[in-house]
Amino acid sequence: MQYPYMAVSTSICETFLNPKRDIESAGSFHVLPRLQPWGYSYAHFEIPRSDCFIRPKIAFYRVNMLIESFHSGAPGQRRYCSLHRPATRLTRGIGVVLCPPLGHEYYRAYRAYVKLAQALSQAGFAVLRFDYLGTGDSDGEETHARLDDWVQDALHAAHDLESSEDTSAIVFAGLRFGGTVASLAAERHPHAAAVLLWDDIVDGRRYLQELESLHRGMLADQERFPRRRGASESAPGELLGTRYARRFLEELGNLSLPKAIARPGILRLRMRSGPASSDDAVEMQGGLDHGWHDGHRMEESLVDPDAIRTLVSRLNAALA
Amino acid sequence: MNEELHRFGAGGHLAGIVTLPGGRQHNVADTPGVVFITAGLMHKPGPYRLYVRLARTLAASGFPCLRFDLSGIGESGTGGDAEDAESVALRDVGDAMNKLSAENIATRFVLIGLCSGAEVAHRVALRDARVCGVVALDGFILRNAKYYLWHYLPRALSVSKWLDFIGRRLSPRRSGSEPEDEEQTALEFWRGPAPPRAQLEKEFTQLAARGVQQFYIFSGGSGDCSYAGQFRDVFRRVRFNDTLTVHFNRDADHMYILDADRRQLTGAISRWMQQRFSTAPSTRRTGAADVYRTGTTSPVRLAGRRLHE
Repeated sequence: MQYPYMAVSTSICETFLNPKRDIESAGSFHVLPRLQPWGYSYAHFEIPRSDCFIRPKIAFYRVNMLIESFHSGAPGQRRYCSLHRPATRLTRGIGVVLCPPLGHEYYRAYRAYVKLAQALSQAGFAVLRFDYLGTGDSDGEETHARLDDWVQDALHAAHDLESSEDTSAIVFAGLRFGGTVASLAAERHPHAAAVLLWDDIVDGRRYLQELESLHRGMLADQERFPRRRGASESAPGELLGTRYARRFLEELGNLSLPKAIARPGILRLRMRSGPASSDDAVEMQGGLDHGWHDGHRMEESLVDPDAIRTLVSRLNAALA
Repeated sequence: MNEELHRFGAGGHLAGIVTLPGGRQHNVADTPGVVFITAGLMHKPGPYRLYVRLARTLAASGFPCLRFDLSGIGESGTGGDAEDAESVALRDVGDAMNKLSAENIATRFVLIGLCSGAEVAHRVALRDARVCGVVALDGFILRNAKYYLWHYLPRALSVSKWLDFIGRRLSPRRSGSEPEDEEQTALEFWRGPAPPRAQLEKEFTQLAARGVQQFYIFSGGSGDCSYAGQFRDVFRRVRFNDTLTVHFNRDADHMYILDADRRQLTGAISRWMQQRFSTAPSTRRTGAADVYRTGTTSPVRLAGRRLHE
């Protein structure tokens, strides 16, 4: 389908005002007017810098899809991955691995993750989203038995990203438990430049207690079920729609992350949603209250464009 | 069981996963392919991986399956044309069936959908003769007098229900974030009222006359079905001619959040599929060579369309 030409959007202003962006050797650069709300389709046009205001050269490119999905890993142990290549020639040479949250929060956040990945790719980052083994569209019926295995999935995803794209550094990012995995993975990855954390979990015991409380509330919720369901009707290790290995739950319950990243040189950007708090370990505050502890909002899709804009712009500025 | 990633639809904007029976042949002409239709803003694994489990279970029984993201959801892009949500969903399912046909995987199809996905399955079945079966999870149903009796009487007699009711009134629920504009449009479509009874009766009759097998499964948690015989009572004037099966999972919620409920549901659908559709290689000769397909073992890397320079 041929997409019609559209007027240039604010992307031009960003390009002119951000002199640190790479400029094509031919003296031309790309700007990206958005044609679709989610940025799935673009028309690109080139403007030679030398005669930008006199004789702009315009070319149309047809772009149908900028997301490439693939399986990675040995047969039966394949992770489902989705790659968002930089949606601009003004690439950063930096890859971002988006680590998903656990269980019901994975479903709540999926759409937001796609939007976050799109926004990051528009800012010149290469982004890889993935599903842990035993979750989403990845292989396996059982989730990981050890916390370290979840982190290994993130490290494998980083390897996939570095194999696909020309990256000199990796950012690990995640919401809730995804942020926890991101922190742990960044500590172990040799090229980790930053972690981008959104309502990440640092106190595993408290998080596990919250999940167990939500689960009990869910079983007793007579807006959900015609009758209260007993605890015996849950499978062993089952919490809010997902079964976990007992060993993993024990490790999660014992998890306590330090407020600072131990390895020097890794930049940490942490955002807390909702009203301001006195948490001095937070670099960003804002966005909506997503009701993580509210059982009535367990299946509510997370929609927070302001938070996504904040995350992307802060990361962009921090790594400039 | 083998899973392959595919792109299809105009411009390759739809992303899906085909689950093929592993290490065995299936008769392409006789064995229907199964297409899963998501609900609302859900992406292709389905609620709590229900569609993943169903696809892998059905593929193990010999049925090739396709689960995919509807336009604008998950890894699927938009088709580019400005259409209403219903038209887009109907087109997407058509594209999914076309993909399985083009890949020589199936020529007939069973559509499985939850909630709005069930409604889409019904509407596609009406207009596409390739659909030979519909599995509707909390699909169309109307409320009759007996519904209200079975719905409200147990609540009136239950102390725990009264306590829960009072508790909800005393602690008002905080509202969540508001969907963005286009999501709101899609959600408003899916929240719309069911078609009138006369229209549904006519449509069910049409499907039954064509021999489309229909499996309607209702959960007690959906709020629209309160007793096992409600669907048959409401549509008693329709001659289903043995094409209809109805199950009522009284204790399950609408999303099948409990693993035990999902297992029970998966088992019921798997048994129904095996009873209604054959997966054995056919010995009939149709004038052309029967076509068999064996699942492949190598994963396919999706080829997203790239910038053309």
